[in-house]
Amino acid sequence: MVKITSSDNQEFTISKEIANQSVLIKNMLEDVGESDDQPIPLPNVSGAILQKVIEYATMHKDDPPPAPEDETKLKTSEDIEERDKEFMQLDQGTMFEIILAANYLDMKNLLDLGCKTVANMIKGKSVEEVRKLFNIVNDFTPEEEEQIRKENEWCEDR
Amino acid sequence: MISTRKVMALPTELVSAILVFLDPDHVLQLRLVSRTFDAVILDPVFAKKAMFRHFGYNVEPQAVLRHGPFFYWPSVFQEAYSMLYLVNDEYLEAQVSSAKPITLSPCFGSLTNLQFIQCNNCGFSGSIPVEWSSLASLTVLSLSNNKLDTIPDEFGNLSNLQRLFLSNNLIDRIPSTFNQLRNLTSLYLIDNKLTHLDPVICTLPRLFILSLSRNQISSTIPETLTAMPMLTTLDLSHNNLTGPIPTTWTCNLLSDLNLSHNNLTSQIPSSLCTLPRLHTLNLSYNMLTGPIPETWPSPHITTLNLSHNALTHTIPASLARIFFLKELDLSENELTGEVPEGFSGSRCLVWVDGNYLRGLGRAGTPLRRRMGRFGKRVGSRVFNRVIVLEGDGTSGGESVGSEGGGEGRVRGSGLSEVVGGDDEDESDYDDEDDEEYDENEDKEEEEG
Repeated sequence: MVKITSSDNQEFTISKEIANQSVLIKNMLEDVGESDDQPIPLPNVSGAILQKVIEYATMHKDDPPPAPEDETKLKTSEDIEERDKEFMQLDQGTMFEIILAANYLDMKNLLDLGCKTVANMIKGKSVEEVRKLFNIVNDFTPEEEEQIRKENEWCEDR
Repeated sequence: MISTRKVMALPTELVSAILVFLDPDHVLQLRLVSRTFDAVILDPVFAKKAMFRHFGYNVEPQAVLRHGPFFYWPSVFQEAYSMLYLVNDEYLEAQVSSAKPITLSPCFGSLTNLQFIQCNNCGFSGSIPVEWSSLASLTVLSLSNNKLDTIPDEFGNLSNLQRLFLSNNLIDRIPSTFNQLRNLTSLYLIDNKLTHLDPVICTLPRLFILSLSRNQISSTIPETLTAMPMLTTLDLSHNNLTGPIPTTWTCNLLSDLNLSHNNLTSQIPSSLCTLPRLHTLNLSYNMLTGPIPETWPSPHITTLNLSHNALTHTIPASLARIFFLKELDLSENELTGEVPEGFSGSRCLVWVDGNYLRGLGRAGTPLRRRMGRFGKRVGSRVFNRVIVLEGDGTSGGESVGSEGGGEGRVRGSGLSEVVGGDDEDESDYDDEDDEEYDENEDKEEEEG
């Protein structure tokens, strides 16, 4: 078993096969050696998010090992398992936190899942809708905006 | 657990990882979201990933050049696409119709396998990209019917270029480096904005087609042009060429020469007429003077147009002996005398209207008579009209004039259409049926 602690000092005890889904933790374990009983600190991830991440890892613990980067099989954002879809039924903030955590913990599958889910949310949305969705402020000067608009004219009447 | 965290809190590599799942057209629209989005989207690595994600193992990579948005993409997308999908191509064809200005993609200059580029009728404007001058394998470049205005100086580097089609553009200058195009065989620059005939063109050792028609070239014809060893077709028509036609012509392979619609003066040099392969000669609509040369040794001449000049003297009988001559246009000159009789024996269309000709030899006797009825005189000048002389196989050898029936072989619309300019007499003439008319004519002749 492996112990990990969140940024807010919650401690989780997880099996090695779950821990190993994070390349970050896997590497740490290899570095410090198995015998070490000290919990691994994860200062960038809160307890609540870590809880979700462990939930995901548990769900996928019996997955076959990932095939080596197979460029012949294209990943599309439609390509999401049903159970993963359900897992990602989250509010936007949590979703982003999970993406950040997956990135930090180096969990490729979870990161991909998060990115695809967000991409699906963006799909078909206008610039204004995307800004609203992600609470982004338009930081262009009017001139810059005009320039891009000009360059983009073609796609507006497509 | 409501969070107000913004997506921008995600590091840009994660924004990139998200956007890469969207199709390129949509992604490009999202440049407008914010500076971060714009920077992420225009990153070359992102562009490559987005292209590959969207197009995958593209079975027909050039489809985007024909009806896709390729030429509207930012250059970084064009580059990414080119390097992913076009890098092995030897042949590249674009076929877009764009109301909006588009330019040729500089990134094609990296596609070093290209031998053939064809982007006709696409509305490309600006310069041909200087980057293309590194396409060492390029042999054919066809960019006709665009709005291109510049050929880069570096184009002299295209040492394998054989055929260059740039007709109907806005090009006003041929780079002086063109003399390095040692393999160029065809150069088409019809309907551009050239103002002078750069002598560098005359030094191309393999050039056999040079077509610079419909420009604004206002120089004289350089002597060096007439000595190009491989030249077979030379078209300088519809320019403002001045001065005399060079007197020495040593391009012995020349078969088609068109100098029409210029301001050329002086006489037709006889060395031009003796070019051994001459097939078509058009010197019409100039200000040429003097006599028509006597000697026309090339048996290949089929079309000879000397109309709309100020040529004088008589029509040389030798013209009638050019075996394959199909069309001879001598109209609107100041030729005098009579039309040689020999034409009636050949299958040749002859136009002689608008001269001071007296008639058609003895066969022309009725012509003169008809002049009285329908012809028009301007001063002493008789305006003849189209004469169609057709020999028939059996009696072709006979001289028209020597036989009473000669008139029968000088056929139809030809002789009967002997009429001047637009004059009121024409109404009288118009209703006349040709055959009927000829009969009348014969009668008149008999009576006379």
